[in-house]
Amino acid sequence: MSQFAVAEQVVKEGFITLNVPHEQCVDLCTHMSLSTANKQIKTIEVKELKSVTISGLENGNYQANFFQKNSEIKKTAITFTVKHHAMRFALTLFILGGILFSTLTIPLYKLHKKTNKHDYTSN
Amino acid sequence: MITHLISFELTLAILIGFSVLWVCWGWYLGRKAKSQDDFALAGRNVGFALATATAMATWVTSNTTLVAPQLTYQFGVWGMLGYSMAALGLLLFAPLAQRIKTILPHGVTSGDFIYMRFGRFAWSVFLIISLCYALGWLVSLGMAGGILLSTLSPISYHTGMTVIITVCVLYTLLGGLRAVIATDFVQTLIIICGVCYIAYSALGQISLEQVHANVEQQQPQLLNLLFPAALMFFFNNVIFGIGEIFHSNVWWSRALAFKKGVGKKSFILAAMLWFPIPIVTGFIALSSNSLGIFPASPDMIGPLVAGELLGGAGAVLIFIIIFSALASSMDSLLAATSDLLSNDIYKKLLMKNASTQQILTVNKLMIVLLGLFTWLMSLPQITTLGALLNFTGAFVASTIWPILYGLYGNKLSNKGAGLAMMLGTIVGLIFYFQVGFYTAALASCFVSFVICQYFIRLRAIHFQWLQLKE
Amino acid sequence: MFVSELFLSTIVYTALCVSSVTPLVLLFLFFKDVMKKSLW
Repeated sequence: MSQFAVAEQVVKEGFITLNVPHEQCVDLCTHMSLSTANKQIKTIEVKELKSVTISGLENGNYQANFFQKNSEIKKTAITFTVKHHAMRFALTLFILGGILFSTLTIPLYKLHKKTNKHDYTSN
Repeated sequence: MITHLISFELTLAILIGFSVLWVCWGWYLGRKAKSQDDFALAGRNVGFALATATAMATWVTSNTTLVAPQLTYQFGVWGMLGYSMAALGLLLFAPLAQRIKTILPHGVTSGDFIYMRFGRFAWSVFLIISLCYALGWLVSLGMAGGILLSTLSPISYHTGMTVIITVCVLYTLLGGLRAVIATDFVQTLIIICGVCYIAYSALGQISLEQVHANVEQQQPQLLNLLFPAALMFFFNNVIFGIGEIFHSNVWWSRALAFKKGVGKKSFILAAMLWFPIPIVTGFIALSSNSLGIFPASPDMIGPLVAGELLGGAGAVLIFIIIFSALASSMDSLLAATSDLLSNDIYKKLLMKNASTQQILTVNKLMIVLLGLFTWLMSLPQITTLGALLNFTGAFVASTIWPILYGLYGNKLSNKGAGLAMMLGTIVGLIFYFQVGFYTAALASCFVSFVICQYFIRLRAIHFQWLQLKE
Repeated sequence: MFVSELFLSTIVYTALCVSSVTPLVLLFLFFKDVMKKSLW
């Protein structure tokens, strides 16, 4: 069994699109198994797909093994790391978004009320 | 992978059937349009029912039917709810629609207002932003057409994209805004009935209990309320939606086309009715794991899950829904952007004394050129739909404050508005590339806000509203 | 902090109920405008 480290990348959103390395399997890669250092997460069928997208992953180092089901002679591994954005940074942007939204809606409501009573254009 | 759920012959029959229907209807409705007001603004007298439906249909784009599931697949519950919050854009535009109709009773485009209220510098920046956004959205619609057809049928991405763009160009060309609004009404009914049927059928086959248990085990982040990227995405999408609607001529042309007194209430009702649609279209993406579906590209997840759950009939339904959604947005965008090009660039820059007939001819030429440009740009499938759309977020979010302060206040200057839009866009693009597509609009809006505040508080002018009277 | 099944069901079913009546609302408004001859 030979292994190829195709790519190593850091994912910050918990989702990733992996290119299926059909040329490195015998004929076509039919399946992909996803595992972390200590446990196998799932095995999925990829058939003739050129790429496959997985999502909702937690922090950790992952390995995706591509292989042909009945022929484990050749196996190709893609490794990647999921490291989500820092919570402090995410919450800062979330709160900033909330403040911006309130800063927009409250004055808009007040200005609309004001202009309804007293139209600028008639001045 | 679910491939070729619809046969080549059936795909062709649906495509030809709907294309002929839309094009003939466009021709029928547009045959009496002689002036630019008739063609570009449907005679400025659209009633409440059609106004509400067109506001909804334009906002239920292929993005709602393809990107809502994509974002649910990527960001989970936050993605689904965040997408729904784009309804706030429609809701907040309601008072603006009333204001626009009051201060610009004879206006044609959003560019008209920026030019008159601020001047040439802000207008130039605004036009660049507006065109980048319109072209980005058009390309995303062209791409969506190609993705849809290549996912569900044997028709290739390029053929699908070409057919959809050609049909939309044809009926917009023949009917103008009147055709766009009328087809929007029928398309809204088709889309909503279709997505509800798919959702009910999906729930009949796979229980939410089962979906929840599976996602909790294998994609836990999708249910996590403290999922960092999704937290950033939430308000980013709200701001993006507001920016899209506030600045775009698609919405301004509607505000101007609606009968007096109709704009505000139709936008409020459209927002309330639109709000649940992304949840109805998005939640099925959560069941992909239980069904063993892992898409090649995340924007294909919606059609794939629906196809798997409902088989060939479901695929046909999905195809009709998304084809209608695509058409309802692409025609609006083609009409509104061609107005912007003919009215703002041709009339203001090239032919100041152009007659109404000349502008109408240029308007039609622009529709064809826009269609051609969209086709060319959609040829290479450069990125996913969600990422492409959010790229334009960096541009549009910077226009929110200048438009708000421009419409309601008299202190923001030409330089302030222009700089706020320019620097907001630049910072938004930096965030897009350095942090992620889900932060571009937020950063852009924040910078634009700070610059507007600086100019209003420290470099204020006193704009005379009489100058806007035409 | 994870979303419960109850929360997920509530938002999905509420959204579905509202969307189901939307076509009826639009058709009602349409015929009302037709009767009042204020469609365009």
